[in-house]
Amino acid sequence: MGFSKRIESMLDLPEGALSGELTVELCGTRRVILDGECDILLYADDTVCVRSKGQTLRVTGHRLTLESIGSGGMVLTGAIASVEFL
Amino acid sequence: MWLWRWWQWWIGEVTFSAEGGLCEDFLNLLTEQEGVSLWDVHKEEDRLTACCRASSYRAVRRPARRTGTRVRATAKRGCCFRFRRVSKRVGLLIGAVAAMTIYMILASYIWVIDVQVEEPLLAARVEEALGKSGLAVGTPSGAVDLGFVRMHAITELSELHHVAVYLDGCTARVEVRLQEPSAPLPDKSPSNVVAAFDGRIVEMQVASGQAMVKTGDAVVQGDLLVCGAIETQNGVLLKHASAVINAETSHTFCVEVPLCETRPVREKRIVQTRWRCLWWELPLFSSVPIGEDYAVTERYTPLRFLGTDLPVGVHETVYSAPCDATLRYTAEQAECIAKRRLQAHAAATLEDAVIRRVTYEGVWEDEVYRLRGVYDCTEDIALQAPLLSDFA
Repeated sequence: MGFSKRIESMLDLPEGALSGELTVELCGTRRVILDGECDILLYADDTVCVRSKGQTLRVTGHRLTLESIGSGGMVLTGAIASVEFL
Repeated sequence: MWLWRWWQWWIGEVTFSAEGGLCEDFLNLLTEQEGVSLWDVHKEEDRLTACCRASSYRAVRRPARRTGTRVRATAKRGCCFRFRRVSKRVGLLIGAVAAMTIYMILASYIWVIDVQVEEPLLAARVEEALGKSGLAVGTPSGAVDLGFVRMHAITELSELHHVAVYLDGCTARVEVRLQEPSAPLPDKSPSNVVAAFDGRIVEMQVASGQAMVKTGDAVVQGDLLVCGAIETQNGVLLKHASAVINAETSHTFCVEVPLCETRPVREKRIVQTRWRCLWWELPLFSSVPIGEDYAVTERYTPLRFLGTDLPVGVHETVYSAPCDATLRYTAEQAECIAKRRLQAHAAATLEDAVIRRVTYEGVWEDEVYRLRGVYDCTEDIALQAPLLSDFA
């Protein structure tokens, strides 16, 4: 366990709050909130792939839109079909 | 959401489209290296559209060059773009600054004094008293000592019980409460009850004193009905006599209506109108001599906007005087008018009486119609009278 993870555990902080790990939050099937640094690998109408710290996340669905995107994360909206780590 | 939209409009927003190249790399470079935040990002086939802050748009070009993407601004929204459009018109800019300056200066003055009292005469007196203490139209708001104004108004006008003065923008609102007249103390001095009119007693309710008559007795005006001096074993006891003595009475009224009479039928009115703007007044009339017998009424109607009085309005001075006119009636009209006047007089005089029967008798004498009405009533004829000095 890394130092930052240990601090998170000791202070009962949300996982990834200090380590910068990607946090995925799902709001029903309409919205996915990705919190943390990530690179877009693929952006299409039905698939969005992002990579963060060696992990690759794939979101599939219809009419996927980046509601907002910045250096600290992104918000993805649309009809979400699946969220999977590859 | 509207707050977010408003903020976007305030900071300025640019919508751009990006075509060709690698759009994923373009987005990564833009967000991570340049630190630009994007929203409403859509991709349709090879074309990407997104929005960013107006100040960040310059940073879009470098990642676009590196990834071979062609970027084009498609829409610009926000106050900075609007301001840039009008900023080249110097006249507009000067006008806006001048208007703002004038607004700021005028906003620091009092332009309306709203005295919340029903009687217009009292409102005028209150305004006059406020003016003496330094609260008048055109006074700077900061120069008004509200506590002093309030105290001065109360001491100046004795009929006021409470005065509250507060400033509401350019309006000084004055709430006034009048002294409530105190109820007179009931008269408990020794007295008799006498007959106010001739009549025949039908009902008696003596609350205090000694009854001197009984039901069915006929009395004339001034007769003693209830005596306040009661003889007891210990001597004469003086009391305040009180009673309700209902009696059948008869009243006769007479009116005369000539075929030709002079009556005050309408008023001569002269209205002088002025437009008022702030403290200036623009007269809209030509000067005419006005006699001294005219009564003067001032009337001010402010222009209102969204329920607020503006310092612009119409000030009217109304001069009015009674004017006599000679009226000619036909015989039928005279009879009708006579009956109406008689009824009005009887209604006012016999307000508390129950009218049992009315008989009219009209005659013509020298073009004058005389109408006589006899009203048979039932009414309270008890009238308080001081005790005779022998007892008092």
